[in-house]
Amino acid sequence: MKKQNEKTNKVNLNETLKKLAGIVSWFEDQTELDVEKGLEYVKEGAQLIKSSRERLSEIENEFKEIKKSIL
Amino acid sequence: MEKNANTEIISVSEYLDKLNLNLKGQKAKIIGEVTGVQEYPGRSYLYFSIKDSKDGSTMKCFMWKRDFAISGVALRDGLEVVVTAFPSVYKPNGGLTLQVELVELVGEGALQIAYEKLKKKLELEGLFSAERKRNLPEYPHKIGVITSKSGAVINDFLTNIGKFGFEILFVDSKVEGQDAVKDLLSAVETLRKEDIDVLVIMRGGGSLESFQAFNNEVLIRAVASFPVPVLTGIGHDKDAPLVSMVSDKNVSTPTAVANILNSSWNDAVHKVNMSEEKILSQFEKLFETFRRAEDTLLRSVDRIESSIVRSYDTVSVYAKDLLANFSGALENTEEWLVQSGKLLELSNPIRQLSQGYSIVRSKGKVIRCVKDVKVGDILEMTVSDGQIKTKTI
Repeated sequence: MKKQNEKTNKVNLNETLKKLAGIVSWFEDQTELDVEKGLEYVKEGAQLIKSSRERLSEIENEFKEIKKSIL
Repeated sequence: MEKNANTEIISVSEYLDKLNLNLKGQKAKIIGEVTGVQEYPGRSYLYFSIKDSKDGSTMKCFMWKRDFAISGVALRDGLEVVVTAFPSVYKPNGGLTLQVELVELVGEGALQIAYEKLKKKLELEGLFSAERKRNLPEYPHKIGVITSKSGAVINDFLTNIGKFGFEILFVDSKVEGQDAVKDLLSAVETLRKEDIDVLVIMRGGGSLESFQAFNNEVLIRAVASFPVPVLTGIGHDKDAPLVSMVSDKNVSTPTAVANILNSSWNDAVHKVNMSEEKILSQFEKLFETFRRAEDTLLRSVDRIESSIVRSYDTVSVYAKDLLANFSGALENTEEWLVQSGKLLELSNPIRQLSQGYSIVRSKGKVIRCVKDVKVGDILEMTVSDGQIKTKTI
C-alpha cells in the first residue's frame, strides 16, 4: 500500500515539463500582463522547476545504477 | 512257486493292466473309413469303428469327447479319416478297442470341404466381422508370443523386433499339422492368465493340411475370446487359416508382425526427435530475441543519457524563460506605472493653478461661460494657494 502511494506521489517528469511549457507560453502570449495571475504562475512554475530537477536527479541516479548492472 | 517273469501266475486283471501298459506304446496313425458312430449324448465319450476300405478289417474306437471336440472333425459313416490312437483291452469284456486321441480328415478335398463349411459357419456367427476387430494397443509393451522355438519364424521375429523395452512372454508350441492343436490351445490358455498387452501367434507358410491346427474350431474360438487383441503372422498361399481371419490383425510374416509392433514406437521416437528439434529451435529463437533485446537496451543507454541531459537543459531554459518573462513583465508594469504617473502629473489641474489659472465655481458648479452666472451671484475662485469669494456686478 505504502509502495503504491509512493508511486502515485512521484512526480511525472513529462507532465511537469508540459505544465512548465504551458506557463512559459502563457507569458509569451500576454500583450497586457495580468500581474496577479502572472505571479501565481511564476510561483507554480518555480515549484514545478524544483520538483522537475529533483525528479531528474532521481532518474539520473536510478539510471546510473541500472547502467552499472548491464554494462 | 518259482518267480519267473515268463511263468509267474497273475490274475486276469493284473495281466490286462500289464498288457494295456505295453499296448500304450503301440501308438500309430491308422487310416480307415468311419462306421457305426455312437455319440451317446450327455456322456463324456463316444464310440465308432474304422474299417479298412480294401479288405474290410475293422477296429472299434473309443474317444473322449474333449479330444473329439479338439479334433474338429464331424464323423459320419464312410468318411475317410486318420486316427492317432493306441490299442487297449477293455477289462469288463476283454474286447480290443482303439483309444483315439485325434481324428484328422484325409486328403485336400475333404480338408477343403471342412474348411469351407467351418468358415461359413463362423462367418454367419459374425466372428470375422470388421466390427469385432479390436485395435492393437498404441504402445504395446508386454507381448505374449506363441510359435515353435525351432524354425526361422521366432528368429525372424526376434531379429526384427525393435529395442523398445518389449517384455516378451514366449510359449513354445507345435505349429504343424493337427497335432499342434492341443499345444496351441494350451499355450493360449497359459497366456490368457498372463498380464499382456497383445497376443502374437505366428507360423511360416505351408499347405492347407499343414495348417490344420489353425483351422480348428476350438482354437479359433479361444482366439476370438482372448481378453487382449490378437495379432497373427501366419503365412499362407491361398486359403487364409481361420485363426488368422478371426484375429484382430493378421499379417503374413514374422517380420511384418515385428514391424507392426515397432511402428507406434518408431513413430513415438520420431515425434520425440521432432519435438526435440522444435524445442531447440524455439530456444534458439528465444536466445536470438534476448540477444536483440540486449543490443537494443545497450543502444538505448546512450539515448537515455542524452535524454536526461536534454531534460535538465529544458528545465533550465524554462526556468530562465519564466524568470525573464515575469521580470520583463514586472519591469513593463513598473514602466507603465511611471509613465502613467507622469501623464497624470501633467494632466493635474492643480498644477495649472500655479501658473496663474483659477477654477471659478458658483453654487458648487464650475463656471465655464458668462451665461452660467447672473448679476449678484457669489463666485468662488480657487487659486494655487486658496480660495477667493467675489460677487458679480
